[in-house]
Amino acid sequence: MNAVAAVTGPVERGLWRDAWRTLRTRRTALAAAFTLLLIAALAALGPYLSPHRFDALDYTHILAGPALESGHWFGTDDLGRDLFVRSMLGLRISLAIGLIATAISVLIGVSYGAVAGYLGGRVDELMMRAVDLLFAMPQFFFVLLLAVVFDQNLIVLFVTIGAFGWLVMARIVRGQTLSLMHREFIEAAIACGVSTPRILARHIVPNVLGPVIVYATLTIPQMILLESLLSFLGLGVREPLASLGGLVADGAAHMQAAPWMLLIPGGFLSLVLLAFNFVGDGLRDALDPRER
Amino acid sequence: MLRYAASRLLGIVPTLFLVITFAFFVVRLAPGGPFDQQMTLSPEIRANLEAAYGLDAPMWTQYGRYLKGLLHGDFGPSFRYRDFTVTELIRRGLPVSLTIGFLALVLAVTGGIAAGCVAALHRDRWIDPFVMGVAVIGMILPLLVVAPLLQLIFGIVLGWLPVSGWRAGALDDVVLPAVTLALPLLAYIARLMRGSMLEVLASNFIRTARAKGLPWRRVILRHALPPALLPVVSYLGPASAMVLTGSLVVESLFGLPGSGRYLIEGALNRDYTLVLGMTVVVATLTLGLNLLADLIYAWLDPRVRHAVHKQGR
Repeated sequence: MNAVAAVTGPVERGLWRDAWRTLRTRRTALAAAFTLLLIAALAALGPYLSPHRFDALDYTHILAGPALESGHWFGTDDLGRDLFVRSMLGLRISLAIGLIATAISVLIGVSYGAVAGYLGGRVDELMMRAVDLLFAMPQFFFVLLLAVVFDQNLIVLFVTIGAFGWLVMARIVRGQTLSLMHREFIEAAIACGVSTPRILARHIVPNVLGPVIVYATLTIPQMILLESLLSFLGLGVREPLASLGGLVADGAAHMQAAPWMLLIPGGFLSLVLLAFNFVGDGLRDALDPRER
Repeated sequence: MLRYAASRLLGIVPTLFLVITFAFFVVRLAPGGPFDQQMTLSPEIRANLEAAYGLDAPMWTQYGRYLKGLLHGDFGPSFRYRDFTVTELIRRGLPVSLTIGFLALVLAVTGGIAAGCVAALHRDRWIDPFVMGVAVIGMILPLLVVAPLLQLIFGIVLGWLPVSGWRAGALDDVVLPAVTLALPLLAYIARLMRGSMLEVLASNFIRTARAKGLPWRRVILRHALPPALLPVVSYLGPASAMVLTGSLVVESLFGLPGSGRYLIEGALNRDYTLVLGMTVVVATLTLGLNLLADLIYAWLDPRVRHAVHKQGR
């Protein structure tokens, strides 16, 4: 046992250990991840700290600036609603949509790509042609169409936005799967008579996990952005709830009289998007073998 | 080359057909009709209305009629703007959208290429990290935050440009919307350009060109630039799709009478034919621009060009 340790050296290696070592040197990514945790905690706990409710109208404070004594820490909007609580709830909605929609797109993308890459041949060609076709379509306009048709139902919104993002994921996973197919351990599994679904689930998917995690992290901000676009246009989350995009739209309408209505939700939205992108970039350096 | 272009053009037709079919049936099979949220109509009036708009026919007949209309450039009547056909609305709004979109694209491509080249050629100076840092932030910051900020700064605080509005032919109305729309693309193209330029500069034929004593300027402009442009060209397709999406935000924020704003208003009022028509127009534009980008790529890249020629023979 000791001899083996001496030969392999004191440093343990492995995909995840290497990845962690690289990640630790990426200061920006770490700072971004920390920021995200902080924002998430704020979004989760913030509303309980404030004396105000998100939909309560305060007629004595309409378009009031940020102030400590009134309890409106971020000011109020044109109806006298507290901007702090609304921003926190908006953050919750935006983060939830980002995470759920990404989970859906990962689920579809990974299974689709793995199956296409594994089966190969004509099936693969057909499946990828379908992806190319969907890719050429104006996807945002379809999401918009579905949002209108299904009456801006929150669950439909999650699903349609998620169904929008899986195409690139499918391409990545298929490419990775194709390159895995020539590896000995897959051949060994086939030779041992392991069933196809089991090979996919136990051998292929775990090995494509690195790029999937990287791309999923980069998908989250895209999904958040997509939803905020819809909400900005008035086709997303409905009043009195509001996502960050909806709050920014309100703020843009009152930016001259109440610039905080634009700057605070806009700042949070930008911060979240920047942070996710920086974390994604850091993870790419750490996890994507093509980048080494 | 011509044959290649023609075959690619034909390839668009089935895609477009699928898009139209999908959009049509999503709209028509959805619960709720266009006359639902008005005051409750008596059955007779409702039947008359539906007959007037051709909604009483079986679904397949309606679909056939719609396709036939499309071939004549007829998108049907608008449910919301009662006196207009969708075709009229599109014809009215599209020029505005295309002006803004085209300007934004030109701005993004020229600016992005310039910034990317400057960064790549000054890699060891402060310029490179500076340009790339700005580009990363410009790429990620969302349009819907940047646009009102620019309005606030240049329109209200400094008062240099009109905050919003559209007077036909007034140049200063165009500036802010086009710049806003161009910024994220410009940033992305700059990054793309820098990467590919660095890659090309490291390749053997550049070393050869320098070794035979060509002036540096000529090496850059004649030898390095054309191949380095290829990734930018292939990004033009997705970029134009982004411009089309972004113009929705820009048009509604800057109060431009473009087709994007009609689309949003139509969507909010459940004006199905208008939304359907706009989706078809946007799909056609997206597919057409993608094709155009591919053709430019094939024309620029000698490897693809020769492959195409062999095929054509």
